[in-house]
Amino acid sequence: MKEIKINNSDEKIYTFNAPTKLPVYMWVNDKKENTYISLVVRYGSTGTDFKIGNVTYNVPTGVAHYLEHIKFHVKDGEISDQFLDLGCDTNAYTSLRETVFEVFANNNIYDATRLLLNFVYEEYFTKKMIEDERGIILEEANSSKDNPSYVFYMEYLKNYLVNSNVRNPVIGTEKDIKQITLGDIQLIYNSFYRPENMFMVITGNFDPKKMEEIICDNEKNREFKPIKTVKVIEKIEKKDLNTKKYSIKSKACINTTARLSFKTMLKEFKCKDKDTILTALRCILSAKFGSTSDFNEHLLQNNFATYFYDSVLYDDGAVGIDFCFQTEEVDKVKKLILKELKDIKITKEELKRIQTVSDANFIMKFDNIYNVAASMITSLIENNDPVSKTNQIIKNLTVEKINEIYSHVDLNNYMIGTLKPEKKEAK
Amino acid sequence: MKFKKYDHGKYNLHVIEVDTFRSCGIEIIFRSLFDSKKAAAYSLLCDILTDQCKKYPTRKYISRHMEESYILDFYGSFNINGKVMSTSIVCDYVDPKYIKDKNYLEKTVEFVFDVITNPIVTDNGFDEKTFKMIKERHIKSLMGLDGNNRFLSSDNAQKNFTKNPAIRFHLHDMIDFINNLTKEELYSYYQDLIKESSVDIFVSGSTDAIKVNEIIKKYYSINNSNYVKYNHLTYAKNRFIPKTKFKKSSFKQSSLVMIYNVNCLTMFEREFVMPYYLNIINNNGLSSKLYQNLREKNSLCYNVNTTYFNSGNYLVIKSTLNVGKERKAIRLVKKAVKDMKNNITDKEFVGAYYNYQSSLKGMLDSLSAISRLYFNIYYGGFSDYNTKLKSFKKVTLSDVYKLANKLRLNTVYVLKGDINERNQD
Repeated sequence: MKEIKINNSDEKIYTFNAPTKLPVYMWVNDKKENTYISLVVRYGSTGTDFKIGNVTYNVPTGVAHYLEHIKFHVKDGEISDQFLDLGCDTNAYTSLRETVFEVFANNNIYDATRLLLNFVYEEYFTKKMIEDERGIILEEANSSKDNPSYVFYMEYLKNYLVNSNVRNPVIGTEKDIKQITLGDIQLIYNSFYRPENMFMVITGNFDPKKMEEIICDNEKNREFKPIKTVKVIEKIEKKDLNTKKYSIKSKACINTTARLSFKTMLKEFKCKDKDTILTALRCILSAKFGSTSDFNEHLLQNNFATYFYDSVLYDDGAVGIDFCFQTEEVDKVKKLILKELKDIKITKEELKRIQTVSDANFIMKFDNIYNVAASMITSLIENNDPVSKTNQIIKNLTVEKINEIYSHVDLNNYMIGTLKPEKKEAK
Repeated sequence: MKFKKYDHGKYNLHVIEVDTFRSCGIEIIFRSLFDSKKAAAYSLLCDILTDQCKKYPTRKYISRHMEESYILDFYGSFNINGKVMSTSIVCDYVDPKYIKDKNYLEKTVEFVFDVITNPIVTDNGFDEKTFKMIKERHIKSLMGLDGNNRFLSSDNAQKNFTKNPAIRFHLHDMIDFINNLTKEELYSYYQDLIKESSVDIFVSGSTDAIKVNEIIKKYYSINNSNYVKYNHLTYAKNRFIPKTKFKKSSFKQSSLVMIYNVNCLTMFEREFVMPYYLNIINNNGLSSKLYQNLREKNSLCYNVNTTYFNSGNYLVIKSTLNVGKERKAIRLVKKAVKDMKNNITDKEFVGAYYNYQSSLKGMLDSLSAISRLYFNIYYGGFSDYNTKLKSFKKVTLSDVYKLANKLRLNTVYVLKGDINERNQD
């Protein structure tokens, strides 16, 4: 077992490989009552096109999420019943690049770890199971359609991204969900639910040595049928936007919301480190548009907008800067943002404040076993490293570096979207 | 984990000493009996009081101070619990032992009292710009609920359920009142809040109770009247024949809300038997009775939730459903509730025990959950953590059946989705 030190703290991560080569990462805090155990598959909703050897496959969007649902049905009923018998709670989620099976335990931690591994690695799917689950997933999909903010967000993705699969809903469209077959589920399971494509993250109160023994013992005889190399076909994003302006109306929408989105390609930046670019942009936007900024105060105090927030996003080579605001004066706010963006430079005082916040958040992160695990999972998916670099990047950033990075943002490549109320018939 | 209470006549200081966290929290709670106009005004005050004061004239300056001072969060919150309303100002900060400044705790306490007691006031009214901004934000946020099927179904169900003003109330009812409120009137409500409320201060985290008590005494500057301990409990009347109401809507899913009166519970039932009931009917996840009936066996919904309102003595079951399946869903909920009276398996009963024990232990990893645990001890008369663990073992299956027989269906409300809207996608 190796130890990885987390910079600027006394914390460390233990790591080892199970006999199946499954990497396991552990963070221990014996002051906590609980343990969070997760088994992560490096496969999410965006992996619809992939190659096994030289053969190309395509599956409907939503298969990853469908498989996550189906996995809870085991030969003798529901796996959640078996976890309940151990006094543990279980759940799972699917995102763009990963599927995570998780257990929250304060009893029978080692038995729960065995059960997690055994049920995820057991291949058991039937046609009936697939059919029975379809209605439930369709209802899950329908529940977001009554949420205008979600509908607006999906419309933004469709217009902002040209190629990337991020533009498709994780759960899939109704058409996708209806198309998914037992064959699709088995294909994805056998291609991606393999130790070389997975890892475990365990955080909380447990004995790491005992955990290593338990996992190694449990996995020593597990065998996987060899297959050719599996590779998801990455869809590199283009600089184009699908439109410059889009608008949707919703009967469930009461107040107008707008979204102003800028797109720059990663390769346009002089700095070549993606995380440094994204962190630097987050710093400058926070300083100039966040709650401590003059701009934010001007907007809210004059009632030009009731809500206003900014974000920096990254999707398959595209770096996005995004402003979302609730307003009755879309054009006015848009002009104000465009004007402000033209000539911003972060100051030393602003950067110092951001560094202080980052330090506070870094200290606080270790208060919550779930936050520690979430940070490790994200970092492993994105950088194959369990230690998030964000705090260290912020410590190392200078105003010159941030301003240089910001100077490469393409302020001409933007689009504006609006979500407006649709007149309702009598309810 | 240690609790210490200091009675200062006008206010009580409660210190929750727990050393497993890196954050600490101060929460100042102003409590008074429910009044709809005051409720609306106090909810605005939660924002006004955390957005400006003489020393930090706008939220920008407050935010800058927070960033410079390792303050993690600073906000106001308002809630109604039975017939008592609470207006809280909350400040979360980093455990002082991680901060070089030796006066960090004192400065944080000073900041909180400064903001609460020194708002910007001119001619007996709050600062015009801040007032308008916050009023507008509240109105828009409340109006936005008109597009939320879950809110509309719950709110309409509550309105059909009871005439009890505290139970049926939602701030959404007060949009016109808020719209017409002036900055002078709101300031007058602020004076009421300060003068008439009972004040409790909760400090939690790795903290020295004696030191905290000294600091709070030094900075306590709220000129309120003497402390009154209120009884939260209130009731909604039973109905012999449940009221069922269907209303059409243009949403893509139907929303079902079923409300049950829960009559004459003993303290033992409220505290120890009810968690078994909730676990078996809903909270044990996919194996619970409601999930089995509605989701797993009939694919009618994705989610179903059950909440027990201790202070109002009622229980609410909610779900969003496939359009056209509402009556079937109502039948299946009724079946689950009926099964709770005489048809619980040993596995379900034991599962409820483990689930509750596990969630109780789980709370110890959350500072806010520990604070809530203490609020329930202090305000609700509930037991402490160890007593809970011991007493929970004493519950029998017949206790759960007995409780299940105290439920009476009062209201069924369906906000029916539109099949045409659903088919548009």
